[in-house]
Amino acid sequence: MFRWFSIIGFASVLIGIVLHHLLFPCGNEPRFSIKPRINKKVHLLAMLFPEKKLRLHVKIHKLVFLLGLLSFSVLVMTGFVPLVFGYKLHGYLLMIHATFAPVFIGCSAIIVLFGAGEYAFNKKDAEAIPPGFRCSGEGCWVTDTGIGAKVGFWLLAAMALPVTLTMVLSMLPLFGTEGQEFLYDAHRWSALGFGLLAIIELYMLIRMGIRKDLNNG
Amino acid sequence: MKNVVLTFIIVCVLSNAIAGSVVGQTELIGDGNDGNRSRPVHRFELFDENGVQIRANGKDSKPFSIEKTCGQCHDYQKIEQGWHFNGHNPQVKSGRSGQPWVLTDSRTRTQIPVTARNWAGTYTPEELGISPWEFLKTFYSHFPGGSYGQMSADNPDEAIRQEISGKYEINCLACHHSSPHEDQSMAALQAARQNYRWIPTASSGKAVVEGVALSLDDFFDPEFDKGIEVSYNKDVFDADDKVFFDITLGTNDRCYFCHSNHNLDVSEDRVWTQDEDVHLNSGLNCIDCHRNGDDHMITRGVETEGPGKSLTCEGCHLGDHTEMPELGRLGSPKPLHRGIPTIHFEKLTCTACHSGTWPQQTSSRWQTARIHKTGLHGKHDLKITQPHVYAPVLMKGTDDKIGPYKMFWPAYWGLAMGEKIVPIPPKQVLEKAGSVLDADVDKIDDWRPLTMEKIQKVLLLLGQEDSRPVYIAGGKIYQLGAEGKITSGSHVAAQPYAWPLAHDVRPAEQSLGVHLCKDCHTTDSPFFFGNVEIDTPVRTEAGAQFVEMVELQGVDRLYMRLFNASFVFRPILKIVAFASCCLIGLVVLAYILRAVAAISNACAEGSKKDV
Repeated sequence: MFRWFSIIGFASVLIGIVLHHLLFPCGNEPRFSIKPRINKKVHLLAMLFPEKKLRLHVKIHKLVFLLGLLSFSVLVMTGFVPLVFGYKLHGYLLMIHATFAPVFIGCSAIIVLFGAGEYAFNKKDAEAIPPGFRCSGEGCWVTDTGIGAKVGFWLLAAMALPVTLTMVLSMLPLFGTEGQEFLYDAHRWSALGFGLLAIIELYMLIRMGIRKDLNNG
Repeated sequence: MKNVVLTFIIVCVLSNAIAGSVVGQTELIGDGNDGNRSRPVHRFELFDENGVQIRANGKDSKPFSIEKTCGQCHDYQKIEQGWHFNGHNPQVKSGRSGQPWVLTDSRTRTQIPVTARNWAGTYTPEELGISPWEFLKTFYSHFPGGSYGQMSADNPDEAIRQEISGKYEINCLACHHSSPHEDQSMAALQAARQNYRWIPTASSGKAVVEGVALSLDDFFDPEFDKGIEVSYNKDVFDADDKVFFDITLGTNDRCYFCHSNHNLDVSEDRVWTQDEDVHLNSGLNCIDCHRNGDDHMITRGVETEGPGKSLTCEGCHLGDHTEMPELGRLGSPKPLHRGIPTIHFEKLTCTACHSGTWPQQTSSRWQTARIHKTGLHGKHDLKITQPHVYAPVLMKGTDDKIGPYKMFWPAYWGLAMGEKIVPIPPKQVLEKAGSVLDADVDKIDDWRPLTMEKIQKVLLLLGQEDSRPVYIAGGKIYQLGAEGKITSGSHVAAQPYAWPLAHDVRPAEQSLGVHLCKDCHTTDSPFFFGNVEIDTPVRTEAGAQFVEMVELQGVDRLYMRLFNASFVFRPILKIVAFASCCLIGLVVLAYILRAVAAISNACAEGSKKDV
């Protein structure tokens, strides 16, 4: 069951993102021309590297974010790809998964610590919510005002706890066989939720970054 | 006339049908079970093999026959189908591999697993040219009777000897007579003397048997000649000429005679320091788990055989959470297995952590009662050392799980016919190559050493037109290559023969995992990287060779080393994870509190405005 939930979950999120992007494209360029699409890809790549003009703590923040992103990708690949093909996580993939897990959770903690202020809700957020929560033809307020990213940030911060604790607690001599089974299941389901939400959050962050750059000229 | 014939045929058919149905329904008084749990008293007449009653004051007493005596009340033919007595029958479902008989021959450097059961890696007595009579002569000491013991000899010489020695009937008393007088060592001694028909009588303690069938000449007539004398203890007969036998379902002592194991790492003067299986120490008996009905198909504790899970480790120690639970028997403690990921239960048998001795860097040598003929006291104590049986060897079984095994390395001469290796019986090897395989070579580590030159000479002498002679030993196959030179390689027939080790079960506090992960997951843990000696008479410059258990487990060695090495970083992982969780939790909590404060302030400001 979990396998099918995972497959359907990831497929739905990816399809949802594509549809959202088609419905609410970033910037003012025509959607399907080649030049802006190439520009966007170059832009996305450039976003992965810290700029020289940034201050040290911002640089660290960005590097930690990139490292977290890398480890998240590895965890998703090692955790879910074998599952999709009907295998269990074991062998070298398990070792890689377990190696990147502490890196990821360490990065997550730093990101939460550094980003909490930036992602805290304020009055402007309340004002940005349109009456009736409806999206206008200009764009999607959920993704483009930053409210979605903020909600995602806090949800991810909260979900990181069960994802991590379920695995670490199973390594301690606290839970018996039934407890171990529960922790394993809880880890899988919470990791699935976290993974799906993280992909959506990434999409929203990229959209915001593109919009910010376009607005800056 | 026609009508008379027809009537006769109808009468015959009907009478046969009625007789058949009566026979089919007849139940002897010892068969079945009316549910009364009290133990039936066994006081009965003794009968010899001709069905003549043996009396206290009878002259020229004969040995009592189990078939005629026990068969008064119990269906002997049904019992003959039981697990202990059907080993000769390849039609019987073989089940999981078990301990075979082992044919050893020092001069031909042979040790080969023998059984008629269809266990991979074994050979049948027929394949080795062993007749039922020879089988008895070879494996007499811990043989329970029945099976090969009751087969009529085809060979005239053997048939003559069988007339003198009699048949080796099932010795019910070996398992069920719980009298302290029951002497299995005596049974073995009588078997060594080929006094087969006298075995139950002599070992029961009810009579003294004097004489040796082996030394009687071929013209001896057991009906009329005096050669072997039986003297019944007169006080065993009561006024009705009945004899009391203390019959039980079976006591541990009786099982132990054939099912004992001895770790040779523990010197004889330290054996007393050893514990029994934890179940026995807790008051259980062997037969509490290894049960059987009238058919004597004893349960082996294997899920795929008999009553399934019910009489396995899980049957007692785990529940099944069904409406009418069948598991969780005998008030057994349910293991918590705290901190042990469930993957272990998929990859390992229960016995992997709980049975045998604690794994050592090098597997110990063991003796088993049946292979090494232990438990024989006095002048027929044999001190057999071969084959070298190693345990506990943690390897993967046919159930795809890693568990502890006993094993030894087969060694024998054979003929390669395609991919199949057909062993050559030691007798035939000696007939053809006895001149090369000299007997007076000093033994090294119980083996008479073999050099490559000697193997080459024997193989040349064993050569046949349609097949290629080979020698199997130490996991290798030796054969003649180009220009008659010896080559060696691997072959499935050279693989060690292994069978699961289930006992002794250790207490939980002495089981693997009691020190958590480090009992197995270190870079040099005996569980994965313990060594098993490759036992062979073939001497090479390399000296003693070993194989790591990880190879026998079918696990990638590099992976296992890396995986185990990663456990060094486990504490760091835990610290990082817990610290990160604390930090994230604190930040989330702090902002939740801030949000609550902001909402509270907003509400307060709203109230002021309203005022």
